[in-house]
Amino acid sequence: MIEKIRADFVRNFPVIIVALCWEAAVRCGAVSSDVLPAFSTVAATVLKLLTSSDFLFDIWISLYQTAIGFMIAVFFGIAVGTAMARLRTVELALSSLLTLWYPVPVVALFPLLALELKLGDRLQITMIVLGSVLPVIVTTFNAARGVDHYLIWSALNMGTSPRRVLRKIVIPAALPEILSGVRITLALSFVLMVASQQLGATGGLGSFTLLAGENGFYSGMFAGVLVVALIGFIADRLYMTAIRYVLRWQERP
Amino acid sequence: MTVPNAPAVSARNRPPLPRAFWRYQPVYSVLIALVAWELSSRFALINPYFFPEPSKIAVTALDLTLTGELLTHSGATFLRAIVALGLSIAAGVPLGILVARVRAFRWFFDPLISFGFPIPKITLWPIFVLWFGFHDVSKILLTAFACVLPILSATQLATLDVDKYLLWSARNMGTGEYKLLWKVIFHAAFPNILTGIQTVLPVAFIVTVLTEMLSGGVGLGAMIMMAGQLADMPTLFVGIIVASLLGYCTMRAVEFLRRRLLVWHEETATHQ
Repeated sequence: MIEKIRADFVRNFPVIIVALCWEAAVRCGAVSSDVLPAFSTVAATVLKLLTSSDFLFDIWISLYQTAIGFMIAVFFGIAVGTAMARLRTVELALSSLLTLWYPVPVVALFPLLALELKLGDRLQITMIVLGSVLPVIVTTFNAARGVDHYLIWSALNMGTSPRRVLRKIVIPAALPEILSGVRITLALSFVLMVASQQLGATGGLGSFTLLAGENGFYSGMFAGVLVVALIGFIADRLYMTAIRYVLRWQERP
Repeated sequence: MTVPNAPAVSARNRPPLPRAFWRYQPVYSVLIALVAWELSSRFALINPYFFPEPSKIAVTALDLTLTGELLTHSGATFLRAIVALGLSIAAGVPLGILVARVRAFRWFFDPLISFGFPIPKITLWPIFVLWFGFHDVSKILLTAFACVLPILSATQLATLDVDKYLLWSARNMGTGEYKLLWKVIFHAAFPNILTGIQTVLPVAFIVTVLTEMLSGGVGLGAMIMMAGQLADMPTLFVGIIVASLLGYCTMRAVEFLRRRLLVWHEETATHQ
């Protein structure tokens, strides 16, 4: 246990070095504290903000918008991707439309959606879903297409119904590849959450940092950015742990 | 249509129709979608105010082109994205090779990269505005910052992936370390580095458009945001379409460039 903590400490030592350099540069006046508040100031501001209910509410808004948008994107994306891989008609109908959609910068759709949906949770969640569903569809399609045909044929031959083949063979066999593709989607949904809140929102960490910057509350702005970074980092780590649990049946090299 | 990883109709399972018919299959879906849009907007099945007819959007696009407005905006967006991309390549590729080859660099940068990767970079926008102002510099630097980590880690992986027998043979035949770096490592890793750059291209355009939307001024993002505030739907659609086209054309151009740059590589030979 102590060994592990020590190893983690040694491995992450450069992060501490950077934080110390930041602190030192501000303390000795190399960088003005108006432009860059000292690390200790920012850390203290984070702690202070964490006791304010407004800020906690901003965190809560960001978290649930990201979570809902991410989950809709993942379920919908896996459904569409599998359908495209298994059903010819769906593939024919959708593949070229998806090719068209691929280069559309989703953030550019914000004004359109804002006029349509008004400000509120629905707007942010729609942005997150639109922006992060495409990678899920494409990875799922490729993964489901790549499933060993002999597995499917054997199962069908032994009298398994097509629906059961889908549930018992195609999806489990494609799952490892899908889940590693979904990791990108998780990062994307955080990006879209922040972006859509910066563009216009009634609350959330994206609009908090933007407003703090506009009001000259710079230590709050840096604190907000640090909190978003930490949440993104923790979400990524949790996701990796969850994947390892879900795929515990997998053989590992 | 050769978007990376984009699904394509496999030849084996095509419905029985002449081959020439299926060659233009993507065009048909798009045409059907456009006609459906035009008709449903004409007959008010969808709100014609929010979704103006494609013909109306085309006319607006023509107007904006003739006044030169569209060219100014899209030129600004394109330049910013390309300069940012150039900066991130100039920083990310050498650093990636160093991180892969030099132990001290790996020790220092590995934890920073793994910490920095999941951070949504656009959160830093207010900080960049504070440091670099509202104009080009902050937009370009934020875009470059968003692109640099993926390029760095793609380069790192590509360099680590270089066949060690290549290195040993070159060393054995008396190649110096610097020459080895350029002649062997860089060339062997180049295809994968290029793939990393290709995957980061859309990010460059998205972040540039986003920063323009947040700050206003010149650029497609600013044009889109202004059109949204004025509820000028045709201009809004022109902005969205041109932004998509700009990204798409750049991606295709890089694919073309890739075939030119990798003439010597086996991947090009198998494609032709």
